[in-house]
Amino acid sequence: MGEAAAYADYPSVRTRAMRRGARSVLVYLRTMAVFVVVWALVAHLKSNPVLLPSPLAVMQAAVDLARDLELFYHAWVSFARMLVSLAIASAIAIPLGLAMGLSRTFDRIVDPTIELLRPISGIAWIPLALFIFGVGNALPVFIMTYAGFFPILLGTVAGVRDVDRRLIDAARTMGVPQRTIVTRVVVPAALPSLMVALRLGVATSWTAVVAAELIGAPSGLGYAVEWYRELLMTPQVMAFIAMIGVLGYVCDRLARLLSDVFAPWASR
Amino acid sequence: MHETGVHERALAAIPGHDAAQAPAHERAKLRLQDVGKRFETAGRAASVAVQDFTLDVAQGEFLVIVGPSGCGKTTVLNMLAGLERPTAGRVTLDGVEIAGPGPARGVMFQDYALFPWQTVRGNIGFGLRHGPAGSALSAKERAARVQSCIDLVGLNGSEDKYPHELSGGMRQRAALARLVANEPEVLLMDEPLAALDAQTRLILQDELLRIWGQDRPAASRRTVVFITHAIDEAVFLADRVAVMTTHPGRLKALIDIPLARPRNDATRASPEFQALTQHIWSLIRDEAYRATVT
Amino acid sequence: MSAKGGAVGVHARALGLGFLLPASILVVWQALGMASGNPRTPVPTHVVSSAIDLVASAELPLAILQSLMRVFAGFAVAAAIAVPLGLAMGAFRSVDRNVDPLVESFRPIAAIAILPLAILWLGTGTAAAVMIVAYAAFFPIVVNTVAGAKGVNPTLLRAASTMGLSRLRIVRTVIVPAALPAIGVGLRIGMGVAWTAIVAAELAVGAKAGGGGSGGIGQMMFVFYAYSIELNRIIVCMIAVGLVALALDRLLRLAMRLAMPWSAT
Ligand SMILES: Nc1ncnc2c1ncn2[C@@H]1O[C@H](COP(=O)(O)OP(=O)(O)O)[C@@H](O)[C@H]1O
Ligand SMILES: [Mg+2]
Repeated sequence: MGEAAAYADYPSVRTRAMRRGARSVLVYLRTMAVFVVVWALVAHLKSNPVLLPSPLAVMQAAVDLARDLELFYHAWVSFARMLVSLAIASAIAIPLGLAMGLSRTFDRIVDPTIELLRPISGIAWIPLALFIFGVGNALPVFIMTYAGFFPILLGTVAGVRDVDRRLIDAARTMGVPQRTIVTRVVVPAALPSLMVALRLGVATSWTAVVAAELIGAPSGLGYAVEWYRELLMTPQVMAFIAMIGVLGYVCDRLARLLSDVFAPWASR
Repeated sequence: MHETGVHERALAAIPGHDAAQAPAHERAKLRLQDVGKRFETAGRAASVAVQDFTLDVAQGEFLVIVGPSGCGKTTVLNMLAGLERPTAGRVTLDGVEIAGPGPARGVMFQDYALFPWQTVRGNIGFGLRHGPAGSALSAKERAARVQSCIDLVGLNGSEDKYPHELSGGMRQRAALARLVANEPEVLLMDEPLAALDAQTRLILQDELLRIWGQDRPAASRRTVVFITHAIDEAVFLADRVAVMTTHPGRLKALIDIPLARPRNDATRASPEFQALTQHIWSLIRDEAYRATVT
Repeated sequence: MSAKGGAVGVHARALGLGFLLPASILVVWQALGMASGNPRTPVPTHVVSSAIDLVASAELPLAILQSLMRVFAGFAVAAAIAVPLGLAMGAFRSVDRNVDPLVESFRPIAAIAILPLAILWLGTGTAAAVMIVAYAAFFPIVVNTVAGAKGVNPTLLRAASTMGLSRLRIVRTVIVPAALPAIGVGLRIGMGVAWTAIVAAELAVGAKAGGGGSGGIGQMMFVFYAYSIELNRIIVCMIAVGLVALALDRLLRLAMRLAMPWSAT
């Protein structure tokens, strides 16, 4: 019967939503507690701290790494690389996408090249990029820019294409000049799609950065994970893996926040 | 009752029409007793969708509920279907309280709710194959029942099409066939013709009455509760029309439709038909007007 | 000119325009490469001859095959867990509430970050690669399946329940088919990230295990980078990675169309 009631999903009372929010935090904690207990048990039975350290050992490692700021240093390096990469990718992809969305001819010229490059994942560029840039900052930034570029471009093009023709026609019948139509009608109408694209870009470039740093950077979270693996310091490896998850989550939240600020009318 | 005017006088001229006379239908199939439904809505005070709703629907009766949009028609139907529980009063089928959906009460939804991944045949046979309605039947018997329903609604030739390949009228026919294929004792229909164009609508009204069995004796007919916001449709189809008003949704009037069956185009052209339509319109006109300006 | 002729003309011109940019890029690349005077510098003509060499010697096809086997294995594991789990989460709120925290906690961890652990646990061979692929493909599949199962038109669920179907039966007869398009999207995305992940994993294993015998296209690329410095061959591999990605996506798309004859597209 409870399931049948679930069919009627009408907006609920705010207090009830808050109560549900509090309850879902509890459920979250309960699930994670079960996970940690199972992990601790398995670790205890295995009793091999290199293969599977206990949750406590990982906590301890995380606290130590946090205390001497190593955790935050590598996190900051990866995060800064991502910011730079996304800024570059957006600076190229958004104007290009606007132009492709607005001009059929331009789209016909550029689109096939894009479609030829797009299936080649950013990661497949790593060996060539290693050769060109060497090990350093430039390699992960290049790989992330490349990885973030395509989702942002495609989202922009789709957003511009999906603008309701009648909105443009309405503006035109009011005698609004072409350039103003672009800035006042097309861009705002395409913004929600662009914001979704940006989130996707964040996700793909975050995946790419770990791979790039793992292989070809002297710093960053990917580097740190691999460094401690070679030292067989598994608790540290796990602490950094957790940090990759936390920062990935924070980046997604930030992208959503950006969407809420710039396109608050876009419903998720 | 409310306003006595030209319509009341015209109605008085129809033989058999008498507000005081008890309905000819003896046995109550469905019974709503002092039914109320409140919805708890975000932040605001709970909204009362239906209040003090009392109505008996007799075995074999074609009952139509009309009322302006938002007056609670769907809520009443959902309570009859068991999809929604009343917050006050009782809803019973053959004297047994309705606790949830069941195959004895078939529902036809406004947007038909055809399964997009099933062909016409698959949709019609869905309840027979997966529900209790067909559990006593062999595969062959089921197929025969499905075929007879296809014949009944005239969908021959489209049995293997998917819903997206059908016109609105054909989808409506498929939904109707699916409804009758399960042989429910009670048919509950929520504005099943609302999405159709005016001509298709008239044709399907005729078809609906034929399939319901308007030329058969009343005892062998199914009980129907039919919702519409079109008054002429209500008058054409109904034995009785229940008129609802908004805020809260209440039963305003119960009107006997003594038009002879079988009904046809001549019925629509008759002065009695016009008078009944006018009368019902007069009952909800003021409210309908207010609804357009607020 | 007839309307049809016009359309063909437009089409041909569009194609011509599309060739313009890639063709000029190739020409400029070739000219610059030849002008550089360094025989190592990759140019299109050398890329083509390298491609012929690599295919003729069966090196490239074998490497791709090895990577593909890993992808299929990992993908199958991911799908076998993620689809049933996602359906259960989408159909039953209690499952969703209890499992969702776990899924959401691990989802932001990039698959490749797990690689060091996988190597630690399973060595540098196929098992570790399969684990990475399964991890990578799992999340898009489960998330899309949940969304599909939750997004079923509620009227369809009501329709089924008024016909007297049990909840479990409704899952099988309504929720599964209604969620199929979303599951298909999840599988396609999952396959895409699985392929990316295998290349990354093989590259990383190649880089870290000193070119150990893990094989696959990713490792092949790394060997061309680290040992023989054959940039033309690296570019051949990159193109191959792209072509395989494209082929996998087309294949899944086709499979989805065959699995869903009712969908209008
Ligand atoms: N699940 C619900 N939650 C909150 N309010 C509802 C719900 N269902 C219906 N209502 C409200 O109840 C009233 C009656 O709705 P409904 O029965 O759908 O009217 P009708 O079918 O006559 O148009 C409306 O005001 C509607 O907003
Ligand atoms: Mg309604």
